[in-house]
Amino acid sequence: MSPHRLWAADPTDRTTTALLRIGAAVLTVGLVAFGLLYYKDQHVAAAPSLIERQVALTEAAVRKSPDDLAARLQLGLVYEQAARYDDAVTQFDQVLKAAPGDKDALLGKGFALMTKGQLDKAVVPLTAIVKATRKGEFAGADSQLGAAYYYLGVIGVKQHQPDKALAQLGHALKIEPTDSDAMYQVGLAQLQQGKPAAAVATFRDALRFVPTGWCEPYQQIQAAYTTMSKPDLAAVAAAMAGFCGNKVDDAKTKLTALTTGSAAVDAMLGLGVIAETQQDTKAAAAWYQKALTKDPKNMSAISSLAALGVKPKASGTTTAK
Amino acid sequence: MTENQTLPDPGGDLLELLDDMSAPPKSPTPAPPVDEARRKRRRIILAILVALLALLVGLFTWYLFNRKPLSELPGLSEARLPSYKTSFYDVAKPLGVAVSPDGSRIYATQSGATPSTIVFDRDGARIGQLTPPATPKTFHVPVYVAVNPTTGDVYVGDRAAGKVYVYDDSGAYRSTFQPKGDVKAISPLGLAVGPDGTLYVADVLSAKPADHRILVLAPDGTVKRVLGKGQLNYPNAIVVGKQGELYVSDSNNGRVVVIDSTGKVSTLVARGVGDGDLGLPRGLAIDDEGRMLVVDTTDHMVRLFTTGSSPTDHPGYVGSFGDEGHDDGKFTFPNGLATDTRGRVYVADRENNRVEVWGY
Repeated sequence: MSPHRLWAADPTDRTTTALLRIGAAVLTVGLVAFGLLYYKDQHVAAAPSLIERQVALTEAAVRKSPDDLAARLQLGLVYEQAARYDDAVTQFDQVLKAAPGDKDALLGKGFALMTKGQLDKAVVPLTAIVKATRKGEFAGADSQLGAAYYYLGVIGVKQHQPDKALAQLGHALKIEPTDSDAMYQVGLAQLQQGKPAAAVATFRDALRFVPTGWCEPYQQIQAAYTTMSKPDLAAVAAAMAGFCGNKVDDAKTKLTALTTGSAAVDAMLGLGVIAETQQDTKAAAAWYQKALTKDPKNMSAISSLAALGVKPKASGTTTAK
Repeated sequence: MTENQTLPDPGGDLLELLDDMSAPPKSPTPAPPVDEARRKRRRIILAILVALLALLVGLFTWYLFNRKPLSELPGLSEARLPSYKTSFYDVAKPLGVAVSPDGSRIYATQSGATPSTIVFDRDGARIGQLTPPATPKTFHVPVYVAVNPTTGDVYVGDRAAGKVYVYDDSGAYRSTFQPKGDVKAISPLGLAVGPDGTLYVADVLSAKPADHRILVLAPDGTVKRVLGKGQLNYPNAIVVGKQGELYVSDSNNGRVVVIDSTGKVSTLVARGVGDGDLGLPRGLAIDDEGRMLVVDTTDHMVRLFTTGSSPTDHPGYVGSFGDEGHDDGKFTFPNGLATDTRGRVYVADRENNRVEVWGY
């Protein structure tokens, strides 16, 4: 026995020792019991996600009818949604084996390969759609053909082949003239061509259709103006990108500060857009009118005032209808 | 390890080991038989043990009474957003959701497929279905659902039928709530039931906002009050506050209002694009911690606010959760919302055909 244990022979100390042992045991058992109860009570087994459920259902449909091309096509599309691109390509290939010209399968395969980064391989099915349909009676309104041209344009941009990209995107825009995504890709291609001014105009066109909630065009405009050594205009674009990212008050402060500089008109138009999205029609009209006073031929200001139902005034005042 | 060093006996006395570890280096001279310092240390350890046991008992007691996550312990529960837990499926286009007083049953109105109200247990298992009465034959679109906090009766507002159906807590159809007096017809959206059985109905009988109102109905159908007439535009969810005030999501006006006992309507949160501003508010709930949750249908998210001591205090914006999409934790045109007293939030995720469960 250790000499240190001699003291434990004291009855009080023996009681303390016993209490310590009992207390430690109770604490341990209590903690374990609480942990088990808490886990049982609070643990939530996460249900399969929506897409996992869709995959399971569609796989079951294909298992039931393996020769059903529509089911396989649907499974390919569902796999794409689940970002299972290899599986998607397998299903599209199965469809194409039975129906080589199936445009849905070609488009799905092209998209899956493009998203996987296999750009050269993706060109093949997409080009097949173009070849098969570009001379068709309804080629000018064929949304699948438009999508094929668009993806080929995106591939051109990704491969830094702006001339090729612009050709494909031009076809896409002929079919869908208000396709703001295609416009955005055109802007990117123009930047690659070293034409930032043209790119800015294109990004602005794209933003006409999606003025809020789309940040990338503003970021690209900022980059283009920076390339063009126009810091004030770049600052306006940066503020609008901030507004797009919900930094509304910060954007307003920055734009207001820019209303006296070389980018005053753009800043005023930006403030008008912000006021408009805040349902403050009066303030929006006032900002557009101010922009118009500074630049009487500014089409953005004119069209924005028209959209608000406000007649531009040469004197700088506006009249709401 | 040298020959002189020895490992403690694993089966030996832990207390002895602790004593030995904290003792001064052993010397050839024997220590005095009674070591006051050791005795003091043991008493301190005993005191700590007692304190830990008391803490555990307190924690156990708090948990048994509240059954909430530990993150909801007093002092920790404010200004936090919930996180996604799971989803309940097998419901088509759910619009409204409500929870039984004990949190064991979740009711979700189903506006798609067969119009009815689906009953889930707390784990998401579908355990029942509240169907409208077979007669009279009419179209049904159940929109919002509310539970009587005292009796557990379930009230389902059917906008197409212009009725409020009442079911008992076992899910059996009990009656159709019939307003008395001048109110001949209603088109119910939001519903709420007070502890005394008073039924609050957001009534949008015509397309004219001037006709939109909140009906306050006694359990026997007598119209006690008509609130907000001419000031609301498609009022959706209603929440009865602790002081008897009513919180209403004034949907097409893009705001949440509070209606006090005098009938005065005050805006709490309005439409805009700033932090915490609303687009199209629909579902609304205030949980037992005083957190106000608002479903912003067109922004596909839920906005969370803290409320003040007075009903008209401006709510403090905490943040938003969810985003547009189909993945877990995302919404596509969410509508109704309910909270339980155990730290859970249920959101009717309409276009994704599910009820999402969030928790703290």
